[in-house]
Formats: sequence, structure tokens, C-alpha cells
Amino acid sequence: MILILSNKWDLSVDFVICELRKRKQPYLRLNTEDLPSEIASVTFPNFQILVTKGREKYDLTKCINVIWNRRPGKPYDDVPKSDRPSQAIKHFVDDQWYSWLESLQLIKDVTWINHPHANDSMESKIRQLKLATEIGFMIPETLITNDPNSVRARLEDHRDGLVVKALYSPLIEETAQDYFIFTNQIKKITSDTDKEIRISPSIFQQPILPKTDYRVTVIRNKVFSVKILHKDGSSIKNDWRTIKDNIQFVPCELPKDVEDLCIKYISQSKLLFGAIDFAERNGDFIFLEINPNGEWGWLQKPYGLPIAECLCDLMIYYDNLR
Amino acid sequence: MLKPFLLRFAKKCISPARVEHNRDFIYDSESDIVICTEGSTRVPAVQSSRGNGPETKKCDIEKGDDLKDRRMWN
Repeated sequence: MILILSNKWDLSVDFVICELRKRKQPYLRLNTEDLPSEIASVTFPNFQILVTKGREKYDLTKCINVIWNRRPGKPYDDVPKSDRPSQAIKHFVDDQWYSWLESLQLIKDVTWINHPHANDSMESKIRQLKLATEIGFMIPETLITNDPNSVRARLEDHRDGLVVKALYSPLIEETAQDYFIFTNQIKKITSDTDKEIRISPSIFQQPILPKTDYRVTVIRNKVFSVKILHKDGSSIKNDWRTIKDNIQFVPCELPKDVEDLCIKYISQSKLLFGAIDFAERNGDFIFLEINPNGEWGWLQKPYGLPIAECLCDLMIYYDNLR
Repeated sequence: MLKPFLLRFAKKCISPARVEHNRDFIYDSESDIVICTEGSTRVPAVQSSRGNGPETKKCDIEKGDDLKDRRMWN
């Protein structure tokens, strides 16, 4: 059976569930934020991972062949803010459940899409860039540093300034408000910022201008590509994610050599799924990054890319292997 | 207090756990998907033509992929 780890409000999963039901393929969707209202156990010496869902009880060690590690929810996700415990207690509870869920990695002969270790490993932007160059992708000239003087020196080399972005997750979760750091462009830094730059390393890259953005979703050896443009067909100068309206995703084909490299990249990353971002300039596809668990639902519906169908094909293939 | 350089560029956003869901959209545990009401019929949210419901993008402003995925939970 296929196990889907996610949360109730993950509509991308709904696309897949609709397809699995259409194909009459057995699956178990665990919205992991609900686990506190179920019974979840691990037993020894007879190793079993047991979980209930409503009235049903499952021995995951016996019935699972494929795990789609999508977006597991956390226990307090659906609890009103006023009823949540302190951050410290919340983290404690999250950690206990994380440990329980981690036991799923002990089930033999399961295919993960993607394995948490592979996801985790490929969230490293340094590893991403290194692998990209090793397999033959072009990447932007890159400096990852907390040294303001090195940044200053690079700025002198680049008239258009430098692109700056976070080395790791760009989300900042405060108690009352979350913040996100998009990719930005800087032309200069002042001595005032030197101490700030030293606090933590950031990525500084040569800007690719003019450029056209591409989002390439790879599912093992299938490639779905879209070009990201303004609605008038013009390309986007900055981080396309900052644009809420006036944006379109145009399905397209990549040059064969780029497509082959995408498949190779996914394979060498030990991933089965990944979403790669490119900037294209004068026919050159420049690798920016990969999102090992990248979102795709917004491409499925309005743009008709059969990503859910392809994911189902993959899951059913591995489910039937055992 | 001194903050990391990149925080100069931080923008407010809404993350999933902080989203108030539109009450016309509910999770149906029988069908294992989110459904919404269109007239007298209930349809899967992903097949609905209605806007203003839950979206496949995780968050509001960020439309991002590379957050909250770094481990299964963190």
C-alpha cells in the first residue's frame, strides 16, 4: 500500500488522492497533525509500527511499500493560537512525534518519495551547487561567506551588483508573525552592514540578466517544464515569487541535453522527485537551485501539467514491485 | 540589537499554521480530501472553480518551496 504523509490542507495531495481513487489503488493518507487524536505505537521485541485512522488499525511494518513524504503536519497546526502551549512545549511535542515518524525509515524495502535523508541532504544549497557543476550544469558565479570584504571585492567586479539570498531556509518564524526573505539584489554595502554580514553566511551571486525563469519538475525520468513570464510575455527581472499577479507559467520543452542533465541530477541526488529552478540567458540554462520537495499543485490545475498522474504512476509502480 | 544582514530584506508572510481557512472548505475524512459546496453539490476543492479557498501554495506571500521542507517537521 501507499502511505501519504501530509496535512489536511495540502491540496496537491488531493490531486493525487483523486487519481488513486480513480485507479482504485489502495492508499493511506496520514495527516500527521491529527496523530494526537489517533493511537500510534511502536512495539518490541516483535517490531511493529501501529497506527489507527478512525476505526481502522494499520501495521505499517507489514502493509506499506511506498511512502510519499509530502508535507507532514505538526500537532498544533490546526489548534487555535489561543489554545496552543508555549513554543518550548510545542517544540517538545513536535520532537516526540518526529521521533515516532522517523521509525518509518526502519521499514524494510520501502520506496520513499523522497527519503527524508535525501531531502535533507539536498536542501543544502552548497551541495546543490557542487553537484550541479560536477554533472555539467552552468551555475552563477557564487560566493558564500560572512566576509564583507570579499563581498565588496565581488561588487567591484559586477557592475549590476550581486544577488543575495539565504543559505538555508529563508523563513523566520516569530511568535506573532512570520517573515520570508526573497532573493534580492544589492549594488553596494556600507561599513554599517559589515557586522550584520558577519553574523551568518549568505549566498552572493552574479546576477543573470536578462533572464527567463524556468521551473522544471522532475519525477524520476519524467520532466515537466514551465517558463515563468509576465502575462504580456515579458520575462521577470527579479524573484518571480514576489509577483502575485500578472504572472503566467507556460508549459514548454527543454533542450534534450538540459533535460537529460535534470534526470541525472535527480538520480545522483538519490531523489525521485525534485523541482529545479533555472535562469535561461541566450539559450544557456543556468542552474539556480533545486527544491527537493518543491510545490507543484499550482501547475497541475490551471496549466494542465499531469504531475499528479505521473506521481501516481511512480507510486503504483513501486507498490507493485513488492 | 544587531540582526543578520538578510533580515534587511525580510517581508511579512503568512505560514500554513497561521492561516484561517475559509469555512466553506472542509476536510472530508471519508474521501480524504478537502471539499467545498457549490450550490447543492459538494465537489473536491481541487476540481472547484471557486476561488478564495485553500491554495496549493503553502503560504501567502512566499509562494515558496524551500521552506519547512528541510526536515519532516522542522
